[in-house]
Amino acid sequence: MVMVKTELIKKEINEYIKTPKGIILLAVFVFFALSSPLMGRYMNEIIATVAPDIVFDFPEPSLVDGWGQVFKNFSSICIIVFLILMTGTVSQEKSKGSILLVLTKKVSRFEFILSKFLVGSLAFTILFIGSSFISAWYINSLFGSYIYDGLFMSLLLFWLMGIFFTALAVFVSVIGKTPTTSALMGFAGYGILQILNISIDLSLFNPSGAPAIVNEIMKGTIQMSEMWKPIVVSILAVGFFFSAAQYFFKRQEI
Amino acid sequence: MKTAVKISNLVKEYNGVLAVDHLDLSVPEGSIYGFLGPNGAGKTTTLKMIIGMTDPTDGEIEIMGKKVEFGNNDYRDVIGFLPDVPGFYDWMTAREFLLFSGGLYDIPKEEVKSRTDELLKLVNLNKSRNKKIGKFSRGMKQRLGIAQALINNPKIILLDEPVSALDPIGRKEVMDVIGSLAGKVTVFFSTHILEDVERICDRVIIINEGKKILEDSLENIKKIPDVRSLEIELENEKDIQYLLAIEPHSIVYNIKQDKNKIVISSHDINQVRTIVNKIVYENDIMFKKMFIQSVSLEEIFIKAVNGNG
Repeated sequence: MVMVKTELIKKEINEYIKTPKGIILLAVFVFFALSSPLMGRYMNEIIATVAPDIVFDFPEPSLVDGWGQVFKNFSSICIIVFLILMTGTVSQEKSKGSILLVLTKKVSRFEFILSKFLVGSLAFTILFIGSSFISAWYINSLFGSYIYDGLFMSLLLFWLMGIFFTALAVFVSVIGKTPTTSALMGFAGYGILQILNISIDLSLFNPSGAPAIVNEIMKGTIQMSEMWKPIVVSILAVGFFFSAAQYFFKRQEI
Repeated sequence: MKTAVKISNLVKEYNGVLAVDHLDLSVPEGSIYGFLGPNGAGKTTTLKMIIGMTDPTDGEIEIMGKKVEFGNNDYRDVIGFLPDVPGFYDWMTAREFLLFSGGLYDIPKEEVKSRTDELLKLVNLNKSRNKKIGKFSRGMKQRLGIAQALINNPKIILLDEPVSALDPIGRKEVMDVIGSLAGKVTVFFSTHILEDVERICDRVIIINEGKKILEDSLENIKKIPDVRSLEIELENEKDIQYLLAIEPHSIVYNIKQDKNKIVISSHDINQVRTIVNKIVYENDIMFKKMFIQSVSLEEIFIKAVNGNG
């Protein structure tokens, strides 16, 4: 049984290339990949300019500050923009009616949402790897080095978080009737998961826990042997939300 | 004749309200079948159950002998569907959309390409083949919608109100395309525009509030009304008085007069003709013309929907 419909995958990829969706994501990811290390490097100067009367005694910024700023902007702005665009992936087709033209062809509902998830994950992966390379190059230019202990684990955790949000976006897109309701549900899900990051013990079991865990990695206050927990939790959460999306979509009247 | 679509005892209930109420119908293969009803009669719900997008509460649907089950796409090879307002990917060109649609079936690429070129010509979009769909008019989109419904060379195409949102020119263009499919494919065509049904359909079903009111060939349906009208135009207006004398007769349903013209409606039009001939002969009346008015589908539809069918 063929699970992947090549024509659907091609169409999804073309949609990223030929519509503003791809450009918006590219612009946001590249902008923050470049501006974040710069902010990390010159944060002391920026604060001194904003409040000249107050004397701050900050340590000299390091490459960890550069990456810290990258991850901070990535986990807030980049992920939110990606989530908002992804949450419309099915609901927009439902509200526009294009879904009827596709699903009345020789296409199963599973193939339909699988293509959405796979191409969403691919787009995220390309953007994430590309922007990480840009940030690494720029951090290297600003600080003379770009590697710290646990960098690759940090990147892996953020990548898994992005894939998790892709699955979550497909799920809310399936259950939402309009792109607006799906976006609101996605945003609410993001907010709730961020609240769980108040404790590192919870973050280890939170598929959106990468910002808190990576913060601990950069401070050197967490054991690498603990990392299997967020990895397994993220993979399970991706599987859960994709299966739930498939379950509801199969039973949905269009 | 084989049956292309067979519906038995179909029911769809939404929160206790019957949108489709024990509907039975049978679409002969090769026919252009008009699915007629006022807005909210249950036409779109029925079509969505036929294409497997909505789960029937009860009843059975068969397409070319294959049972339709909600969520199952086994029979999709033999159908093509056009919704009332088709949602296209505006960033695609007409040609790209047809190639994409064809690619969703297990059809060889070369065949999809040649079928795409053929269909673009059929729906008169060959000149706009490389134009973005977002720049298309509504009429062009509907014609593209018909082309995409035909891409897999289906045995049946199901069209949901394909012309209701179009201007007269767009409507004519789309109706011409649908008419050109006669004999090549079974067309199941839902509409509330009676003129379109009269123009191209050879068999009609009228539904209202989810229930079947009438199902027959257009020819037989037009025979149904028991009241028909005889229109007579005389040379001299003063002679009308002789014909007005027929009014008290029990077979006369209604009489309308306008100068030298008179329209007599009756349950027995042939007897009226005999009486009129007698009056004309006895009074030496000269008339310009006399004919039985044809029955419009609109009259039948209103009569049927009002419960007199």
